[in-house]
Amino acid sequence: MIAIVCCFLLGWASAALGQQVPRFDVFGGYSDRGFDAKKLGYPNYVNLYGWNFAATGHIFMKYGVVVDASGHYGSQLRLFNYMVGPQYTRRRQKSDFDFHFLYGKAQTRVNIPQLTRSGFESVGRSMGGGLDFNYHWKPRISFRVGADYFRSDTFKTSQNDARASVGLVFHFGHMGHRRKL
Amino acid sequence: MLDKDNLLALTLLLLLASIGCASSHTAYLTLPSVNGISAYRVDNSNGRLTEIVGSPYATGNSPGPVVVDPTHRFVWVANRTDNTISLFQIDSVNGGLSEVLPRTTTGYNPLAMAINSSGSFLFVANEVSSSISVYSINSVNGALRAVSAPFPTFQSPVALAVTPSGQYLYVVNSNLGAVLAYAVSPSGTLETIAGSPFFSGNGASAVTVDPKEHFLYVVNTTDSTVSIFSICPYLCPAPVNATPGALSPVSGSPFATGMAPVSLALTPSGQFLYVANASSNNISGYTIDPTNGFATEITEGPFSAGSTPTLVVSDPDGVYIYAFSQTSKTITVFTLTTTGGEPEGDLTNTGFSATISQPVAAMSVSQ
Repeated sequence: MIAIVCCFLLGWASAALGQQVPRFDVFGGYSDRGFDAKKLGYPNYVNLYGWNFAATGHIFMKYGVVVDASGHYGSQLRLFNYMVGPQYTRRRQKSDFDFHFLYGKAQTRVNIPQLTRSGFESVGRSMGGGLDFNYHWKPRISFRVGADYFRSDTFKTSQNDARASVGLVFHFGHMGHRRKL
Repeated sequence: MLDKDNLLALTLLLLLASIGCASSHTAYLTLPSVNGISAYRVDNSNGRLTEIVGSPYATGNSPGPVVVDPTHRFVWVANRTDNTISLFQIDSVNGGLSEVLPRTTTGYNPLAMAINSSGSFLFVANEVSSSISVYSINSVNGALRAVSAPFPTFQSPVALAVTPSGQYLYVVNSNLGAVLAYAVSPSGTLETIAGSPFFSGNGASAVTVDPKEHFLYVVNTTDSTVSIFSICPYLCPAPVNATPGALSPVSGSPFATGMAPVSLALTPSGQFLYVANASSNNISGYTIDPTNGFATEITEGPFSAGSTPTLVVSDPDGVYIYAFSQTSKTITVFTLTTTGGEPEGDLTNTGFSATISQPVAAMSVSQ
């Protein structure tokens, strides 16, 4: 508890003393996911491709809350994750790093047509975390490369997945002192 | 631009994006109490079983025997109380199953099935009808077509095996304690081989053939023995050797097993034979002399296999042996011990098992 209070105080202090940072970030981009399909009886891990969107609200200079959604697609598999969690940002002059923990839902669809239905679907818990590297390209736009690890519980088994995403981050609003751009 | 922090980030990205792969088999188990068939992925590196998503898949009522075609595209399941055969297509990506209707009608209580190595004929033993149904297989879609009316056989056939060449079919009759031998014509019709039936032992219940088509193995549940026959003309004395496909007991046959043997598995090389002893709760292992078929019991055995083992199956590579315990509803995975890369025949429990939670009627492991 003391550690949490200290973190918030440090964040508040950073906001008070430091440079201006955006209030909100919105990310959208392409994503690649290494899916632990062996847990579902597939012979190998599979790579799935899709999208990743995330929105971050910066409560303090270094701390915020991120909402993350992603969808990945293969010939038989459709994976969706809807997650939320805290984020810590290490800020630098031309770039910054985001470290986040995510918790939410995973939805896995498997398309193997059966006599009475088109496939199988399972929804379960998902949790994980990762980091993003943001390079400040324009004052309101950054380029992001991110990587995450997920543990998802669907189809009565747990999958350990890795996700990589690239795309653009759009910054809105500001907090702290305005930075000279 | 790429300072230490950036390099660290990129390294982590590459690590997270790394992926692995491994080869595997698939296994199919029929579950009569839930009218389904389970599909499992078998990891070649350790024998571990992972249930394939969507499994178990619905079958007809009381599914029993299951066979997989040699090209690994189709699975057939005999529904014992429906008197039908279900055809499933195997998903080429993950090994899951999709049933293709309509089901094919067969005789009453189809208790055993076998497919020839070319995948052109499916043989079904109908226990109550006391007949053998023979179906030609459509190589494109797996559909079955009866080659003729079912062939009558002695009362209560319980098991059958077809030789790798597809020339001979052997049907085990428990009531007779004997093996009936049939020659299979190119069109799939059956003709009784002279001298048939060949006495095996009381309670004959399961049968298999070696890959070189030299020997036939039959377990005799009541006698607690395994009978080994040479398939004529191999090693057959005159005048039996004049009848190809006839059977002649090898020297020393029958060989003692544990109590109530009910299932047997031969490794693909034909070098080792394993017998599941339901009453003594273990597996007997034998080394087979490839020249004369003599079975020498492996001294490290018998191998503990849980309570009431009713099925024993070899994987297609001869690396793992799977034993199903009817009491604990668990499949135990054994590996053949090797020395210098050569298997020695004694079994080591891998520590991996799969709990099925249902009785299993039959199991087939495919490539």
